[in-house]
Amino acid sequence: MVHKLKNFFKINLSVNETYFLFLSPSILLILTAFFIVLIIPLSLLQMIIIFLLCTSIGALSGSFLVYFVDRYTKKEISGIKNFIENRKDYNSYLTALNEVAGLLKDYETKKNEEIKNLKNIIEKTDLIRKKAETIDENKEILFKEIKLLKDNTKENYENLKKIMTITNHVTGVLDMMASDIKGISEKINKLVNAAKTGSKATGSEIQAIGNIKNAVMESADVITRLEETSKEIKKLVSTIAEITKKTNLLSLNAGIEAARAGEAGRSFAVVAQEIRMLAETATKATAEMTDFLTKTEQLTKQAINVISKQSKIEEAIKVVYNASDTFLNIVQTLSEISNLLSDLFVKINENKIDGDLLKTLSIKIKNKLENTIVNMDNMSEKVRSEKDITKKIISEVKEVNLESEKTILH
Amino acid sequence: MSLEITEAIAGSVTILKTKGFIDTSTSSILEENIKKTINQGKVKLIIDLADSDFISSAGWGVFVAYLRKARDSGGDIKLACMIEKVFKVFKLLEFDALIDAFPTVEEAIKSYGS
Repeated sequence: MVHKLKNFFKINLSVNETYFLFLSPSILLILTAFFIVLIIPLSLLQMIIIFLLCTSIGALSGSFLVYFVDRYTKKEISGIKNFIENRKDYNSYLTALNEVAGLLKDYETKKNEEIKNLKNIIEKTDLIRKKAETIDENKEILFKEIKLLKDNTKENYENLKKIMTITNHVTGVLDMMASDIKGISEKINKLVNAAKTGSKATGSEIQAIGNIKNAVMESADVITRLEETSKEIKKLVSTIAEITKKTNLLSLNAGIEAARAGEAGRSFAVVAQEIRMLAETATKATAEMTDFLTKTEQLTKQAINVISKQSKIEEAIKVVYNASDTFLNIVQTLSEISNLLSDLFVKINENKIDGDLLKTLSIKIKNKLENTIVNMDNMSEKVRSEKDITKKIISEVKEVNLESEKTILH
Repeated sequence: MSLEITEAIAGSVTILKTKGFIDTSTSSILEENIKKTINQGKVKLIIDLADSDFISSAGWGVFVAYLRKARDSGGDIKLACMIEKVFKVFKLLEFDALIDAFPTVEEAIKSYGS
Protein backbone atom coordinates (compact mmCIF):
# COMPACT_ATOMS: atom_id res chain seq x y z
CA MET A 1 0.00 0.00 0.00
CA VAL A 2 2.84 2.34 0.86
CA HIS A 3 4.42 1.43 -2.43
CA LYS A 4 1.25 2.28 -4.19
CA LEU A 5 0.93 5.53 -2.36
CA LYS A 6 4.57 6.21 -3.01
CA ASN A 7 4.10 5.56 -6.65
CA PHE A 8 0.81 7.43 -6.70
CA PHE A 9 2.30 10.50 -5.17
CA LYS A 10 5.58 9.96 -7.09
CA ILE A 11 7.58 10.03 -3.97
CA ASN A 12 11.18 9.54 -4.58
CA LEU A 13 11.99 8.67 -0.99
CA SER A 14 12.63 5.08 -0.03
CA VAL A 15 9.97 3.03 1.83
CA ASN A 16 11.84 3.23 5.09
CA GLU A 17 12.39 6.91 4.69
CA THR A 18 8.69 7.34 3.93
CA TYR A 19 7.68 5.27 6.98
CA PHE A 20 10.04 7.13 9.17
CA LEU A 21 8.88 10.51 7.99
CA PHE A 22 5.18 9.60 8.00
CA LEU A 23 5.17 7.84 11.31
CA SER A 24 7.53 10.09 13.23
CA PRO A 25 5.02 13.00 13.72
CA SER A 26 2.10 10.59 14.26
CA ILE A 27 3.98 8.73 16.98
CA LEU A 28 5.15 12.00 18.44
CA LEU A 29 1.60 13.34 18.55
CA ILE A 30 0.18 10.07 19.91
CA LEU A 31 2.83 10.24 22.59
CA THR A 32 1.87 13.88 23.09
CA ALA A 33 -1.80 12.75 23.42
CA PHE A 34 -0.76 10.17 25.95
CA PHE A 35 1.17 12.75 27.77
CA ILE A 36 -1.79 15.13 27.71
CA VAL A 37 -4.17 12.37 28.83
CA LEU A 38 -1.86 11.50 31.58
CA ILE A 39 -1.43 15.06 32.73
CA ILE A 40 -4.81 16.38 32.17
CA PRO A 41 -7.74 14.40 33.51
CA LEU A 42 -10.07 14.02 30.54
CA SER A 43 -13.14 12.16 29.61
CA LEU A 44 -13.01 9.14 27.34
CA LEU A 45 -14.54 11.04 24.60
CA GLN A 46 -12.18 13.83 25.10
CA MET A 47 -9.47 11.34 25.15
CA ILE A 48 -10.73 9.68 22.02
CA ILE A 49 -11.06 13.00 20.37
CA ILE A 50 -7.62 14.02 21.50
CA PHE A 51 -6.23 10.71 20.24
CA LEU A 52 -8.08 10.97 16.99
CA LEU A 53 -7.07 14.55 16.63
CA CYS A 54 -3.47 13.85 17.44
CA THR A 55 -3.47 10.82 15.19
CA SER A 56 -5.03 12.83 12.42
CA ILE A 57 -2.69 15.71 12.95
CA GLY A 58 0.14 13.21 13.17
CA ALA A 59 -0.91 11.50 9.97
CA LEU A 60 -1.39 14.82 8.31
CA SER A 61 1.87 16.12 9.60
CA GLY A 62 3.51 12.88 8.51
CA SER A 63 1.99 13.27 5.09
CA PHE A 64 3.14 16.88 4.93
CA LEU A 65 6.53 15.94 6.22
CA VAL A 66 6.78 13.18 3.63
CA TYR A 67 5.54 15.61 1.05
CA PHE A 68 7.94 18.41 2.04
CA VAL A 69 10.89 16.14 2.56
CA ASP A 70 10.16 14.46 -0.73
CA ARG A 71 9.74 17.83 -2.32
CA TYR A 72 12.87 19.11 -0.70
CA THR A 73 14.68 15.97 -1.65
CA LYS A 74 13.45 16.31 -5.16
CA LYS A 75 14.59 19.89 -5.13
CA GLU A 76 17.89 18.85 -3.70
CA ILE A 77 18.21 16.08 -6.21
CA SER A 78 17.21 18.49 -8.87
CA GLY A 79 19.80 20.89 -7.46
CA ILE A 80 22.33 18.11 -7.28
CA LYS A 81 21.33 17.11 -10.71
CA ASN A 82 21.66 20.69 -11.74
CA PHE A 83 24.86 20.83 -9.80
CA ILE A 84 25.99 17.71 -11.53
CA GLU A 85 24.88 19.17 -14.79
CA ASN A 86 26.47 22.42 -13.84
CA ARG A 87 29.48 20.46 -12.70
CA LYS A 88 29.75 19.06 -16.18
CA ASP A 89 29.60 22.57 -17.56
CA TYR A 90 32.17 23.65 -15.03
CA ASN A 91 34.39 20.83 -16.09
CA SER A 92 33.90 21.93 -19.66
CA TYR A 93 34.56 25.43 -18.52
CA LEU A 94 37.59 24.25 -16.60
CA THR A 95 38.67 22.29 -19.57
CA ALA A 96 38.07 25.33 -21.68
CA LEU A 97 39.86 27.41 -19.10
CA ASN A 98 42.68 24.90 -19.05
CA GLU A 99 42.73 24.97 -22.77
CA VAL A 100 42.70 28.73 -22.65
CA ALA A 101 45.39 28.56 -19.99
CA GLY A 102 47.27 26.12 -22.18
CA LEU A 103 46.74 28.38 -25.13
CA LEU A 104 47.80 31.30 -23.01
CA LYS A 105 50.81 29.34 -21.88
CA ASP A 106 51.53 28.40 -25.46
CA TYR A 107 50.91 31.98 -26.39
CA GLU A 108 53.26 33.02 -23.59
CA THR A 109 55.83 30.48 -24.70
CA LYS A 110 55.37 31.47 -28.25
CA LYS A 111 55.43 35.07 -27.25
CA ASN A 112 58.62 34.45 -25.31
CA GLU A 113 59.95 32.58 -28.26
CA GLU A 114 58.80 35.39 -30.46
CA ILE A 115 60.51 37.86 -28.14
CA LYS A 116 63.54 35.65 -28.07
CA ASN A 117 63.38 35.39 -31.84
CA LEU A 118 62.82 39.09 -32.08
CA LYS A 119 65.77 39.65 -29.78
CA ASN A 120 67.74 37.27 -31.92
CA ILE A 121 66.48 39.10 -34.96
CA ILE A 122 67.46 42.37 -33.31
CA GLU A 123 70.85 40.95 -32.45
CA LYS A 124 71.19 39.53 -35.91
CA THR A 125 69.91 42.61 -37.60
CA ASP A 126 72.24 44.54 -35.33
CA LEU A 127 75.04 42.29 -36.53
CA ILE A 128 73.79 42.76 -40.06
CA ARG A 129 73.76 46.49 -39.46
CA LYS A 130 77.26 46.37 -38.01
CA LYS A 131 78.42 44.17 -40.85
CA ALA A 132 76.66 46.40 -43.30
CA GLU A 133 78.43 49.34 -41.67
CA THR A 134 81.71 47.43 -41.87
CA ILE A 135 80.89 46.61 -45.49
CA ASP A 136 80.10 50.26 -45.99
CA GLU A 137 83.44 51.20 -44.43
CA ASN A 138 85.17 48.48 -46.46
CA LYS A 139 83.40 49.68 -49.55
CA GLU A 140 84.66 53.15 -48.76
CA ILE A 141 88.18 51.74 -48.33
CA LEU A 142 87.69 49.61 -51.43
CA PHE A 143 86.49 52.66 -53.28
CA LYS A 144 89.58 54.57 -52.18
CA GLU A 145 91.79 51.54 -52.95
CA ILE A 146 90.25 51.20 -56.39
CA LYS A 147 90.82 54.89 -56.93
CA LEU A 148 94.43 54.52 -55.75
CA LEU A 149 94.83 51.39 -57.85
CA LYS A 150 93.37 53.20 -60.79
CA ASP A 151 95.80 56.08 -60.24
CA ASN A 152 98.65 53.58 -59.91
CA THR A 153 97.48 51.71 -62.98
CA LYS A 154 97.35 54.97 -64.89
CA GLU A 155 100.84 55.77 -63.63
CA ASN A 156 101.98 52.25 -64.59
CA TYR A 157 100.32 52.74 -67.95
CA GLU A 158 102.24 55.98 -68.46
CA ASN A 159 105.45 54.33 -67.20
CA LEU A 160 104.86 51.38 -69.48
CA LYS A 161 104.53 53.75 -72.38
CA LYS A 162 107.85 55.29 -71.37
CA ILE A 163 109.34 51.80 -70.99
CA MET A 164 108.05 50.91 -74.42
CA THR A 165 109.74 54.00 -75.82
CA ILE A 166 112.94 53.11 -73.95
CA THR A 167 112.62 49.45 -75.03
CA ASN A 168 112.29 50.55 -78.63
CA HIS A 169 115.32 52.76 -78.19
CA VAL A 170 117.25 49.98 -76.40
CA THR A 171 116.27 47.46 -79.07
CA GLY A 172 117.52 49.88 -81.70
CA VAL A 173 120.74 50.41 -79.75
CA LEU A 174 121.06 46.64 -79.30
CA ASP A 175 120.66 46.20 -83.03
CA MET A 176 123.40 48.73 -83.61
CA MET A 177 125.55 47.17 -80.90
CA ALA A 178 125.00 43.70 -82.32
CA SER A 179 126.01 44.96 -85.74
CA ASP A 180 129.05 46.81 -84.33
CA ILE A 181 130.07 43.86 -82.18
CA LYS A 182 129.72 41.53 -85.13
CA GLY A 183 132.04 43.82 -87.11
CA ILE A 184 134.48 44.11 -84.19
CA SER A 185 134.28 40.38 -83.59
CA GLU A 186 135.10 39.65 -87.21
CA LYS A 187 138.06 42.04 -87.05
CA ILE A 188 139.20 40.57 -83.74
CA ASN A 189 138.85 37.07 -85.19
CA LYS A 190 141.05 38.10 -88.08
CA LEU A 191 143.48 39.51 -85.54
CA VAL A 192 143.28 36.31 -83.48
CA ASN A 193 143.93 34.24 -86.57
CA ALA A 194 146.85 36.48 -87.46
CA ALA A 195 148.01 36.32 -83.87
CA LYS A 196 147.77 32.53 -83.93
CA THR A 197 149.97 32.51 -86.99
CA GLY A 198 152.22 34.87 -85.09
CA SER A 199 152.11 32.45 -82.16
CA LYS A 200 153.40 29.72 -84.42
CA ALA A 201 156.17 32.10 -85.46
CA THR A 202 156.75 32.87 -81.78
CA GLY A 203 157.07 29.14 -81.15
CA SER A 204 159.58 28.91 -83.97
CA GLU A 205 161.35 31.94 -82.56
CA ILE A 206 161.54 30.40 -79.12
CA GLN A 207 162.74 27.21 -80.74
CA ALA A 208 165.35 29.12 -82.74
CA ILE A 209 166.48 31.07 -79.70
CA GLY A 210 166.68 27.82 -77.77
CA ASN A 211 168.80 26.37 -80.52
CA ILE A 212 170.94 29.52 -80.63
CA LYS A 213 171.38 29.32 -76.91
CA ASN A 214 172.29 25.68 -77.26
CA ALA A 215 174.69 26.54 -80.08
CA VAL A 216 176.22 29.34 -78.04
CA MET A 217 176.68 26.99 -75.12
CA GLU A 218 178.25 24.38 -77.39
CA SER A 219 180.39 27.07 -79.07
CA ALA A 220 181.60 28.16 -75.66
CA ASP A 221 182.62 24.59 -74.95
CA VAL A 222 184.34 24.29 -78.34
CA ILE A 223 186.17 27.61 -77.97
CA THR A 224 187.27 26.69 -74.48
CA ARG A 225 188.56 23.39 -75.84
CA LEU A 226 190.17 25.25 -78.81
CA GLU A 227 191.98 27.57 -76.42
CA GLU A 228 193.26 24.61 -74.50
CA THR A 229 194.33 22.86 -77.76
CA SER A 230 196.04 26.05 -79.01
CA LYS A 231 197.99 26.25 -75.81
CA GLU A 232 199.07 22.66 -76.20
CA ILE A 233 200.02 23.23 -79.88
CA LYS A 234 201.97 26.31 -78.86
CA LYS A 235 203.86 24.23 -76.37
CA LEU A 236 204.57 21.67 -79.10
CA VAL A 237 205.65 24.42 -81.55
CA SER A 238 207.97 25.84 -78.90
CA THR A 239 209.46 22.36 -78.48
CA ILE A 240 209.78 22.03 -82.28
CA ALA A 241 211.42 25.47 -82.46
CA GLU A 242 213.86 24.47 -79.75
CA ILE A 243 214.61 21.25 -81.57
CA THR A 244 215.01 23.18 -84.88
CA LYS A 245 217.36 25.63 -83.17
CA LYS A 246 219.43 22.78 -81.79
CA THR A 247 219.30 21.02 -85.18
CA ASN A 248 220.53 24.20 -86.91
CA LEU A 249 223.41 24.47 -84.45
CA LEU A 250 224.07 20.81 -84.95
CA SER A 251 224.18 21.23 -88.75
CA LEU A 252 226.53 24.20 -88.42
CA ASN A 253 228.82 22.12 -86.24
CA ALA A 254 228.47 19.24 -88.69
CA GLY A 255 229.44 21.59 -91.59
CA ILE A 256 232.50 22.86 -89.72
CA GLU A 257 233.51 19.34 -88.95
CA ALA A 258 232.94 18.26 -92.58
CA ALA A 259 235.13 21.15 -93.84
CA ARG A 260 237.89 20.16 -91.50
CA ALA A 261 237.61 16.61 -92.75
CA GLY A 262 238.18 17.80 -96.31
CA GLU A 263 237.44 15.40 -99.16
CA ALA A 264 236.31 12.72 -96.75
CA GLY A 265 233.75 14.94 -95.16
CA ARG A 266 232.35 16.25 -98.49
CA SER A 267 229.29 13.98 -98.49
CA PHE A 268 228.78 14.61 -94.81
CA ALA A 269 228.94 18.35 -95.55
CA VAL A 270 226.14 17.87 -98.09
CA VAL A 271 224.02 16.10 -95.39
CA ALA A 272 224.87 18.82 -92.92
CA GLN A 273 223.86 21.43 -95.51
CA GLU A 274 220.54 19.60 -96.06
CA ILE A 275 219.95 19.38 -92.32
CA ARG A 276 220.70 23.10 -91.99
CA MET A 277 218.31 23.86 -94.82
CA LEU A 278 215.66 21.65 -93.13
CA ALA A 279 216.30 23.39 -89.87
CA GLU A 280 215.94 26.74 -91.53
CA THR A 281 212.70 25.59 -93.20
CA ALA A 282 211.51 24.17 -89.87
CA THR A 283 212.42 27.43 -88.14
CA LYS A 284 210.52 29.31 -90.80
CA ALA A 285 207.49 26.92 -90.45
CA THR A 286 207.71 27.16 -86.65
CA ALA A 287 207.74 30.92 -86.92
CA GLU A 288 204.75 30.78 -89.22
CA MET A 289 202.99 28.32 -86.87
CA THR A 290 203.82 30.53 -83.90
CA ASP A 291 202.45 33.44 -85.80
CA PHE A 292 199.34 31.41 -86.73
CA LEU A 293 198.95 30.20 -83.16
CA THR A 294 199.39 33.74 -81.87
CA LYS A 295 196.65 34.84 -84.24
CA THR A 296 194.49 31.83 -83.23
CA GLU A 297 195.15 32.70 -79.62
CA GLN A 298 194.09 36.26 -80.29
CA LEU A 299 190.94 35.03 -82.06
CA THR A 300 190.25 32.56 -79.26
CA LYS A 301 190.70 35.36 -76.78
CA GLN A 302 188.31 37.45 -78.82
CA ALA A 303 185.86 34.49 -78.92
CA ILE A 304 186.29 34.05 -75.17
CA ASN A 305 185.64 37.74 -74.80
CA VAL A 306 182.50 37.31 -76.89
CA ILE A 307 181.41 34.26 -74.87
CA SER A 308 182.25 36.12 -71.69
CA LYS A 309 179.58 38.48 -72.90
CA GLN A 310 177.12 35.53 -72.93
CA SER A 311 175.12 37.23 -70.19
CA LYS A 312 174.48 40.00 -72.67
CA ILE A 313 173.27 37.38 -75.18
CA GLU A 314 171.07 35.94 -72.47
CA GLU A 315 169.76 39.38 -71.74
CA ALA A 316 169.01 39.77 -75.44
CA ILE A 317 167.33 36.34 -75.37
CA LYS A 318 165.37 37.44 -72.33
CA VAL A 319 164.25 40.52 -74.23
CA VAL A 320 163.09 38.25 -77.05
CA TYR A 321 161.39 35.94 -74.56
CA ASN A 322 159.70 38.90 -72.89
CA ALA A 323 158.56 40.11 -76.29
CA SER A 324 157.24 36.58 -76.98
CA ASP A 325 155.48 36.53 -73.62
CA THR A 326 153.97 39.92 -74.32
CA PHE A 327 152.89 38.69 -77.71
CA LEU A 328 151.45 35.51 -76.20
CA ASN A 329 149.61 37.60 -73.63
CA ILE A 330 148.24 39.75 -76.44
CA VAL A 331 147.16 36.62 -78.32
CA GLN A 332 145.52 35.14 -75.25
CA THR A 333 143.88 38.45 -74.40
CA LEU A 334 142.68 38.75 -77.98
CA SER A 335 141.30 35.20 -77.80
CA GLU A 336 139.55 36.05 -74.54
CA ILE A 337 138.24 39.30 -76.05
CA SER A 338 137.06 37.32 -79.07
CA ASN A 339 135.29 34.82 -76.78
CA LEU A 340 133.82 37.65 -74.71
CA LEU A 341 132.64 39.39 -77.87
CA SER A 342 131.10 36.15 -79.10
CA ASP A 343 129.35 35.74 -75.74
CA LEU A 344 128.35 39.40 -75.81
CA PHE A 345 127.03 39.00 -79.33
CA VAL A 346 125.01 35.96 -78.26
CA LYS A 347 123.76 37.81 -75.18
CA ILE A 348 122.91 40.93 -77.16
CA ASN A 349 121.01 38.76 -79.61
CA GLU A 350 119.27 37.08 -76.69
CA ASN A 351 118.55 40.52 -75.23
CA LYS A 352 117.34 41.61 -78.64
CA ILE A 353 115.00 38.63 -78.68
CA ASP A 354 114.06 39.48 -75.08
CA GLY A 355 113.61 43.09 -76.17
CA ASP A 356 111.29 42.02 -78.98
CA LEU A 357 109.43 39.78 -76.56
CA LEU A 358 109.35 42.62 -74.06
CA LYS A 359 107.95 44.87 -76.75
CA THR A 360 105.19 42.35 -77.56
CA LEU A 361 104.48 41.81 -73.88
CA SER A 362 104.49 45.57 -73.26
CA ILE A 363 101.86 46.04 -75.95
CA LYS A 364 99.77 43.25 -74.40
CA ILE A 365 100.22 44.73 -70.92
CA LYS A 366 99.37 48.19 -72.29
CA ASN A 367 96.11 46.83 -73.72
CA LYS A 368 95.37 45.00 -70.49
CA LEU A 369 96.07 48.12 -68.46
CA GLU A 370 93.71 50.08 -70.66
CA ASN A 371 91.04 47.42 -70.06
CA THR A 372 91.88 47.42 -66.36
CA ILE A 373 91.39 51.18 -66.14
CA VAL A 374 87.97 50.84 -67.82
CA ASN A 375 87.12 47.90 -65.53
CA MET A 376 88.16 49.94 -62.52
CA ASP A 377 85.85 52.75 -63.56
CA ASN A 378 83.02 50.22 -63.81
CA MET A 379 84.06 48.71 -60.50
CA SER A 380 84.06 52.16 -58.87
CA GLU A 381 80.55 52.74 -60.13
CA LYS A 382 79.44 49.35 -58.82
CA VAL A 383 81.07 49.96 -55.46
CA ARG A 384 79.38 53.35 -55.27
CA SER A 385 76.05 51.72 -56.13
CA GLU A 386 76.64 48.90 -53.62
CA LYS A 387 77.54 51.53 -51.05
CA ASP A 388 74.16 53.21 -51.55
CA ILE A 389 72.46 49.82 -51.24
CA THR A 390 74.40 49.11 -48.07
CA LYS A 391 73.33 52.45 -46.62
CA LYS A 392 69.72 51.61 -47.42
CA ILE A 393 70.17 48.20 -45.79
CA ILE A 394 71.59 49.87 -42.67
CA SER A 395 68.69 52.30 -42.55
CA GLU A 396 66.14 49.50 -43.05
CA VAL A 397 67.79 47.30 -40.49
CA LYS A 398 67.68 50.18 -38.01
CA GLU A 399 63.99 50.54 -38.66
CA VAL A 400 63.43 46.80 -38.24
CA ASN A 401 65.31 46.94 -34.97
CA LEU A 402 63.21 49.81 -33.71
CA GLU A 403 60.01 47.99 -34.70
CA SER A 404 61.18 44.81 -33.03
CA GLU A 405 62.12 46.67 -29.85
CA LYS A 406 58.71 48.29 -29.81
CA THR A 407 57.06 44.87 -30.26
CA ILE A 408 59.08 43.44 -27.38
CA LEU A 409 58.14 46.32 -25.10
CA HIS A 410 54.46 45.78 -25.94
CA MET B 1 158.39 33.59 -57.20
CA SER B 2 160.47 30.53 -56.69
CA LEU B 3 160.59 27.26 -58.51
CA GLU B 4 161.07 23.97 -56.73
CA ILE B 5 162.15 20.88 -58.64
CA THR B 6 162.12 17.37 -57.28
CA GLU B 7 163.57 14.36 -59.02
CA ALA B 8 162.13 10.86 -59.17
CA ILE B 9 163.29 7.80 -61.00
CA ALA B 10 161.09 5.25 -62.74
CA GLY B 11 163.39 2.65 -64.29
CA SER B 12 165.42 4.38 -66.98
CA VAL B 13 163.15 7.41 -66.90
CA THR B 14 163.84 10.47 -64.77
CA ILE B 15 160.87 12.55 -63.68
CA LEU B 16 161.45 16.16 -62.79
CA LYS B 17 158.44 17.58 -60.96
CA THR B 18 158.20 21.35 -61.00
CA LYS B 19 156.36 23.44 -58.45
CA GLY B 20 155.86 27.15 -59.15
CA PHE B 21 156.05 29.59 -62.04
CA ILE B 22 158.57 28.97 -64.83
CA ASP B 23 159.49 32.41 -66.13
CA THR B 24 162.62 34.40 -66.97
CA SER B 25 163.56 34.63 -63.31
CA THR B 26 163.17 30.90 -62.56
CA SER B 27 163.89 29.22 -65.91
CA SER B 28 167.60 29.07 -65.03
CA ILE B 29 166.72 26.70 -62.14
CA LEU B 30 164.92 24.41 -64.58
CA GLU B 31 167.78 24.71 -67.06
CA GLU B 32 170.38 23.79 -64.43
CA ASN B 33 168.38 20.73 -63.38
CA ILE B 34 167.82 19.50 -66.94
CA LYS B 35 171.46 20.15 -67.88
CA LYS B 36 172.72 18.35 -64.80
CA THR B 37 170.38 15.40 -65.37
CA ILE B 38 171.37 15.02 -69.05
CA ASN B 39 175.06 15.39 -68.22
CA GLN B 40 174.61 12.55 -65.72
CA GLY B 41 173.48 10.40 -68.64
CA LYS B 42 169.82 10.42 -67.59
CA VAL B 43 168.50 11.38 -70.98
CA LYS B 44 164.95 10.00 -70.77
CA LEU B 45 163.22 12.86 -69.06
CA ILE B 46 159.64 13.57 -68.06
CA ILE B 47 158.77 17.03 -66.79
CA ASP B 48 155.72 16.87 -64.49
CA LEU B 49 154.12 20.32 -64.78
CA ALA B 50 151.01 19.66 -62.64
CA ASP B 51 152.01 22.27 -60.05
CA SER B 52 153.15 24.94 -62.50
CA ASP B 53 150.45 27.45 -63.29
CA PHE B 54 152.51 29.47 -65.73
CA ILE B 55 155.31 28.78 -68.20
CA SER B 56 156.79 31.74 -70.02
CA SER B 57 158.71 31.74 -73.30
CA ALA B 58 161.92 31.36 -71.30
CA GLY B 59 160.57 28.11 -69.84
CA TRP B 60 159.51 26.80 -73.23
CA GLY B 61 162.94 27.88 -74.55
CA VAL B 62 164.65 25.67 -71.96
CA PHE B 63 162.68 22.60 -73.07
CA VAL B 64 163.47 23.32 -76.72
CA ALA B 65 167.18 24.04 -76.04
CA TYR B 66 167.75 20.68 -74.32
CA LEU B 67 165.39 18.62 -76.45
CA ARG B 68 167.94 18.15 -79.25
CA LYS B 69 170.69 17.33 -76.81
CA ALA B 70 168.53 14.71 -75.10
CA ARG B 71 167.42 13.23 -78.43
CA ASP B 72 171.01 13.23 -79.79
CA SER B 73 171.94 11.21 -76.71
CA GLY B 74 169.18 8.66 -77.40
CA GLY B 75 166.70 10.12 -74.95
CA ASP B 76 163.88 12.64 -75.03
CA ILE B 77 162.10 15.31 -73.02
CA LYS B 78 158.37 14.67 -72.53
CA LEU B 79 155.89 16.90 -70.75
CA ALA B 80 153.12 15.64 -68.47
CA CYS B 81 150.14 16.88 -66.46
CA MET B 82 149.93 20.37 -67.95
CA ILE B 83 147.05 22.41 -66.59
CA GLU B 84 144.57 23.72 -69.16
CA LYS B 85 145.95 27.28 -69.20
CA VAL B 86 149.50 26.06 -69.83
CA PHE B 87 148.33 23.48 -72.37
CA LYS B 88 146.56 26.25 -74.33
CA VAL B 89 149.85 28.15 -74.71
CA PHE B 90 151.59 24.87 -75.60
CA LYS B 91 149.07 24.35 -78.40
CA LEU B 92 149.19 28.01 -79.41
CA LEU B 93 152.94 27.82 -79.92
CA GLU B 94 152.37 24.57 -81.83
CA PHE B 95 154.92 22.81 -79.66
CA ASP B 96 152.71 19.73 -79.77
CA ALA B 97 154.39 18.98 -83.09
CA LEU B 98 157.78 19.28 -81.42
CA ILE B 99 157.47 17.92 -77.89
CA ASP B 100 155.37 14.94 -76.73
CA ALA B 101 152.84 15.80 -74.03
CA PHE B 102 150.75 13.44 -71.88
CA PRO B 103 147.89 13.97 -69.46
CA THR B 104 149.56 11.78 -66.81
CA VAL B 105 153.08 10.84 -65.78
CA GLU B 106 152.17 7.14 -66.09
CA GLU B 107 151.25 7.57 -69.76
CA ALA B 108 154.49 9.47 -70.38
CA ILE B 109 156.47 6.64 -68.75
CA LYS B 110 154.58 4.07 -70.87
CA SER B 111 155.46 6.04 -74.02
CA TYR B 112 159.16 5.45 -73.26
CA GLY B 113 158.44 1.74 -72.89
CA SER B 114 156.82 1.52 -76.29
